[in-house]
Amino acid sequence: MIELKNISKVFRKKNVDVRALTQVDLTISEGHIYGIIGSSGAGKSTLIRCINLLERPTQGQVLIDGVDLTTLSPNKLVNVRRKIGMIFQHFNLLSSRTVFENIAFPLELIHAPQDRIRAKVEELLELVGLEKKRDDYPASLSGGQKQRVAIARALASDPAVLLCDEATSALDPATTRSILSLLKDINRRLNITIVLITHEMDVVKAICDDVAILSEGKIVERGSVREIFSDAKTDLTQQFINSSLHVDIAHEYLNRLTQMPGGETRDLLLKLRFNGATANEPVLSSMVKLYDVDYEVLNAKMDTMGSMQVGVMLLKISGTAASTTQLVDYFKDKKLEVEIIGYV
Amino acid sequence: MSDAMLWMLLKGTWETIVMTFVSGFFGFCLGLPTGVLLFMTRDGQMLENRKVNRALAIIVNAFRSIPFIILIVWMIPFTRLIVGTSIGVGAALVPLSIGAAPFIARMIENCLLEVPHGLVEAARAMGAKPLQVVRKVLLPEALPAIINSASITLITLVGYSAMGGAVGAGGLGHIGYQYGYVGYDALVMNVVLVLLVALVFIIQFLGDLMSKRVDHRK
Repeated sequence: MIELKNISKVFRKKNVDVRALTQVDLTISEGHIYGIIGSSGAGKSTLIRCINLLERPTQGQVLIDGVDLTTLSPNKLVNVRRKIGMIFQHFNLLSSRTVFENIAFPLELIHAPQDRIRAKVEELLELVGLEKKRDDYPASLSGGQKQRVAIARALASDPAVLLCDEATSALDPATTRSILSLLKDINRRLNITIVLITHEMDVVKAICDDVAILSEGKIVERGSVREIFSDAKTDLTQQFINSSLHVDIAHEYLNRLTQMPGGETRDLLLKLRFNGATANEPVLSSMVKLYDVDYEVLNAKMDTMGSMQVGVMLLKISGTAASTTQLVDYFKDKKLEVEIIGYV
Repeated sequence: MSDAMLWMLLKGTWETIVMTFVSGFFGFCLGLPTGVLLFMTRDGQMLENRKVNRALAIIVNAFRSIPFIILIVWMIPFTRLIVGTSIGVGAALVPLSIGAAPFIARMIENCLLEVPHGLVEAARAMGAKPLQVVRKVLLPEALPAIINSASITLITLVGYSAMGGAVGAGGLGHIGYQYGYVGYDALVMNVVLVLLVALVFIIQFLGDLMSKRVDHRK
């Protein structure tokens, strides 16, 4: 449905060329939620703006349902844009218009009759749960409510695609979850393709079907969220995954941490990483039986990605030097990722 | 103060009001589109066009740099052509409008620059055409600032019209000049001053009130 072919974008600033995107290819299937993740400056914003040509790529094609947008006349482009909704990090609501008038905006642009506007806006107000705020001005709304108005506005012209530019980055975690579930709901109910960019893996994990990892204007990895999470190929991807699945080591232990094994006088601190393939095996209880060690779980985080269990666990293990060494090999044998933090 | 004098001051006040508001109106008719065009043709805006922007900027700057009192005199032939005379209220309207227009254009451009760029971007993403962006986004969003600029412009015009009194414009400026400067009647001159001050205060007060009324940014 959306196909980006060989997209490059070069900005010219003070006679210096800045490469924002380099030969990006992307295929986004209809009805999917596609996440593009990257750190700031990776080119995410530029990339999503290339989809509706708010930024014109220096090179490459943007195909939507087989039509190359880069070849369209300004008038035709306007018509295509009306079928692509977009929401933003800072909402971009018109402060001079009430909630109702903001949502009506795209319909006014196409000169829709008043009664149709009213019916549509009321339907959307209900969809985003803001019937009571109908005549309020954006200034009196909370961040989450503003984003709901923005979503309703983006949906007013019955778009086939919704672009989300860091749509939850300015919101607190609880509001982020409610906005994400609204997006998921919209995606399911209206079968709208959603493309979202974010710097948070949690967002991708929460609602995306597919994900692409963008770094310095290039896509370094892409695939279904399940594949990427269970088998990340690049360090960067792993970093993003870790950022959503990370365990902290308490100060109490950090202060005493050394790299010197102390045999039975010191305990081993290690980090175990599970992915789908191994998470279901009872490795911990087998470990105790096989190697005669004691363990304590200091911190752990488990999660389900699609149908897969992934997680990370911080363990404190007491046993003899020989048994702990064997133990590490045992974990490696079980294809678990082991990281020895030190001894306490 | 005689009845005749009182009557004359009243008429002068009315004339000043007419000159200020009518020339303000025509000034806006010329300045608003110019200001919008100045903004829209800037780098990075929807109608980005360096040549048009430069040309407009040169015209605007040229007219802004002519001292108003010289502009009146310099424009006399043109004024005669349009209103048939170079003396009185009607004649003053022409240079006042022309003098105010570039000032207004710059004010409008500045007001539009303060509209967050994201709003324009959002409107473009929704398929708004340039004229729709101007009418439905830029001008409504900048309205509180535009009203403030209008107050400033009108107050400047009060001053300009009084200044014009020295070279043939009517109104309070003319009375102040004739009776204050030529005839040295301190009372009349001071009454004229008080009236001008009152007029300025009223314009500022109404401007602030209206600007607050249309501002929904909290």
